[in-house]
Amino acid sequence: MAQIQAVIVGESMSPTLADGQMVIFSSPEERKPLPHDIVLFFHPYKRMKLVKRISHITDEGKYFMVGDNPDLLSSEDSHNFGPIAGEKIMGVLRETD
Amino acid sequence: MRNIESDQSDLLVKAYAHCDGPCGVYDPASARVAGEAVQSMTKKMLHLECPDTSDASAMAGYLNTMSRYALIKEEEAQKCKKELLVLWTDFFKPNHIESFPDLHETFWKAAKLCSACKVEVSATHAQELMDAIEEIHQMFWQAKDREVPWIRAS
Repeated sequence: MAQIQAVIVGESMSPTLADGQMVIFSSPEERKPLPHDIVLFFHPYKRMKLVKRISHITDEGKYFMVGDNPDLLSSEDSHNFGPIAGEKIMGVLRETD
Repeated sequence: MRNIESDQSDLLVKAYAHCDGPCGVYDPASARVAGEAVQSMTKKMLHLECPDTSDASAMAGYLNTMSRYALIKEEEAQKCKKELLVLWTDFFKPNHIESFPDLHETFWKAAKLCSACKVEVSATHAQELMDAIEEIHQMFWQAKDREVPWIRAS
C-alpha cells in the first residue's frame, strides 16, 4: 500500500498541522483528492513539495490550494501561483502523529 | 513505506507549509529608496554640464560620470521594479482588491514607470514613479491598519 511519510515545515497549515509534525499521505491513486482534503503536491515553479488544503476544483478541473492559517501572509498558495493540475498531487493526508 | 525523495533513502519528505518570504517581512520602503535613487540619478544626468568637446580629459571625465549615473539609474530602476512586484504578487491578496480597486492599475503603472525611467532620462517619469510608490505606500499601510507617514530619505 503506497504511502508517504512527511514532516511539516512551516506554519501555513496551522492550527491543523504544526511545524515539525509528522504526517502520512496516501497516494492519489489509492485515495482520490477531493475538496477540503489536505494534500501534498509539487510546487508549480519551484523544486519543492507543498502541503495545503484543496479549497475547490476549478471549472478547468484544477485544484485551488489554500493554507489553513487565517493570517493571509502566512501562506503561499493558489492565490499566488494559481490552481494546480491533478498530476502535481503526490498524496492525500491520511493520518497525523 | 514509499519515500518520494528517493525510494532507496530513509529520508523523510519535507512538506512545506510556508509563505514565499518565510520572514513575512514586507515594506514598501525598499521600493521607495530605490525610486529615490532613480530620481536622484535622473536629476544629476540632466544637470551634468557637458564640457568643451575638444578637451579630451574633461570629456573623459564627463563620459565616465555620465556612464556611472546611467548605470546606477538602470540598476536602481530594476531593483525598484523587483521590490514592487514582490509587494504586488506576494503581499497583496485578492481580498485587498475590495479595499483598493485600483491596486492592479497602480502597480501596473508603477512597474511600467520603472521601465520608462530605465530607458529615458525623464524628470517627469521619475516624479510619476515616486508618486506611484507613495500611492502603494498608502495602500500597504492601510491594509495593515497602521498609520505610517510618507517620508523621503532625500
